[in-house]
Amino acid sequence: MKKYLAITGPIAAGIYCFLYLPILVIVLNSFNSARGEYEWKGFDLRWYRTLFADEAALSALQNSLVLATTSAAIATVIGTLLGYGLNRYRFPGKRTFNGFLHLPAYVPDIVLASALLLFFTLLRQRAGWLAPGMTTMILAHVTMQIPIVAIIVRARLEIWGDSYEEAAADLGASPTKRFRMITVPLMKPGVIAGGLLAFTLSLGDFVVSLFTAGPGSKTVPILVYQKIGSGHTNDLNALSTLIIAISALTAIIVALIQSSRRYQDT
Amino acid sequence: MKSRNKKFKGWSVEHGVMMGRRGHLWRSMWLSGPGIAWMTLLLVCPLAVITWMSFMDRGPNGEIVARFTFDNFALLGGKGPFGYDPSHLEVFVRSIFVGGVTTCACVLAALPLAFFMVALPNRLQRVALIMIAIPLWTNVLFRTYAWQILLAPDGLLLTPFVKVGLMEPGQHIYPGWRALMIGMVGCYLPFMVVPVYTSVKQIDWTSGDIARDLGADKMTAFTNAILPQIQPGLMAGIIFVFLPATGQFVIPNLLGGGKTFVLGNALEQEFVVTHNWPLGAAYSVFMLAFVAAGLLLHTRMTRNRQEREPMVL
Repeated sequence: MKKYLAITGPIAAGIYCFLYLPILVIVLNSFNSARGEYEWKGFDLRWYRTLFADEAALSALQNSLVLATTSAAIATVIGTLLGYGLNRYRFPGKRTFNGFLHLPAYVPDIVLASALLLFFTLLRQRAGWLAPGMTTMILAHVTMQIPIVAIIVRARLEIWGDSYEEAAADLGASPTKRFRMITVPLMKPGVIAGGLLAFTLSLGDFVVSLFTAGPGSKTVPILVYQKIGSGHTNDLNALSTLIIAISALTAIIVALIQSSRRYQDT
Repeated sequence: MKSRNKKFKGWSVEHGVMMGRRGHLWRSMWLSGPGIAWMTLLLVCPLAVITWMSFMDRGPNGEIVARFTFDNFALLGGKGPFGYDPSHLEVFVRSIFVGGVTTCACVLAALPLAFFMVALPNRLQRVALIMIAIPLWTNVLFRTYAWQILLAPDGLLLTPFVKVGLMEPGQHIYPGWRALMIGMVGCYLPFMVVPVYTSVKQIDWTSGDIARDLGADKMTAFTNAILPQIQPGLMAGIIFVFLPATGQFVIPNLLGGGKTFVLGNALEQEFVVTHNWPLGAAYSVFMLAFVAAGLLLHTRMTRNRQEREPMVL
């Protein structure tokens, strides 16, 4: 196995560079004192200072965080119940529902976004419900997040099967005690990982947000997108860097939780 | 679990509790109920509405008329108002081409990377995996916009090529096909690496040695004994890249320019710019059918659900 390293090593190094190059450009330029160009002119925090004086940018940052936190919280509750329910109990049509649960991961986000746009617009026109804004965005994001939480929680429960609970039942533990002392601890890492992934998924989304946003609920990606159109983006690198840092941090925590499973497992 | 179910029809002992069909239904209602209701209301309903919309007609002023028609699909199929017009068909062909090339490039890059990762000691393997997870969860828009900066004519990346003489000064690859493919591979590669890595990690390397002992040469041993073992991860990765990549919107929009008008661009145009919802809906329905076909095929080719859920990192 080791002998492949001579060939695969350089390729892997190149691939990592390729993946991190765009992220580095944004992060480095947010500390670059140059204005309107991308040559390195020395380390400077001025873009962060202008950022915290910029109302539009701050409100976009606030919107992004409110959206990600609220939607992740809702999705974690519903998704955990769903993951647990799907793991344990049967109902007619479960296979079909499973198929639908996998759809958001594979359907291009713009298809989901346009379906939701159409749905919300018709609801507003016909019934007067749901003006586009934070509410529609939260509804849309939770729809993307529920499957990921449910699938992770269910996968977590499947690792252990039901042997621990049966053992506890044989030893005379009551259903409540079994749930509290066995099921919950087994599920907990999955719930945390699922919730954090839901949060990053929301921060990483652009297309669904763009299609369901209203005039008052601009998030960071939408703001950046509009500024790209108008040409001047230098001052938005700091804002993008903050979002990237939060996503990266959550991704690291999730990866640590999920990969520690492998070691307990084997 | 199955064998116990047979003792009493419809009854089973699960997790130490004896339960019948009604017990399952009752608990499912409380636990899975909210999730099912949410997904029905906000996923199944919108998809049903968009399917319905794709069969609607438009009046003279572009307003939607509730009259059943196949015109939108006929238009996509090339039946334009002035005779044969393949422009919509070309969008499909172009999209599938972009998705296909992206998938191939990701497979070619992910394989050596996965073999590299499993050769590392355990601690470093976790680091290498986390290093893949970070770009995976970073906003695609930011990364795409960074490629715009990098690939600009006088940008950081092309200047060395110009100095060496590989490229003419002022020659640009952005916007265009090359910039589009670079952005696409950068975006989707992590989605390929994770399932492929998971499969490569589970390879039983002794089967390669056995093949060698039985007289196979190095190459045959690798292609016939090692490679088939990573087929599940490869399949999962292909499906995970090909289906979403075909409908990608942000990257073609920002890096491709006018020549790379794909499904994502078409959907944005019909829904946001020209407001031709029935036509946009017809595009979506085609895309949905495409994804459904891909997923069904994948389900047929895999043995169990675990093989189909590679992204549970």
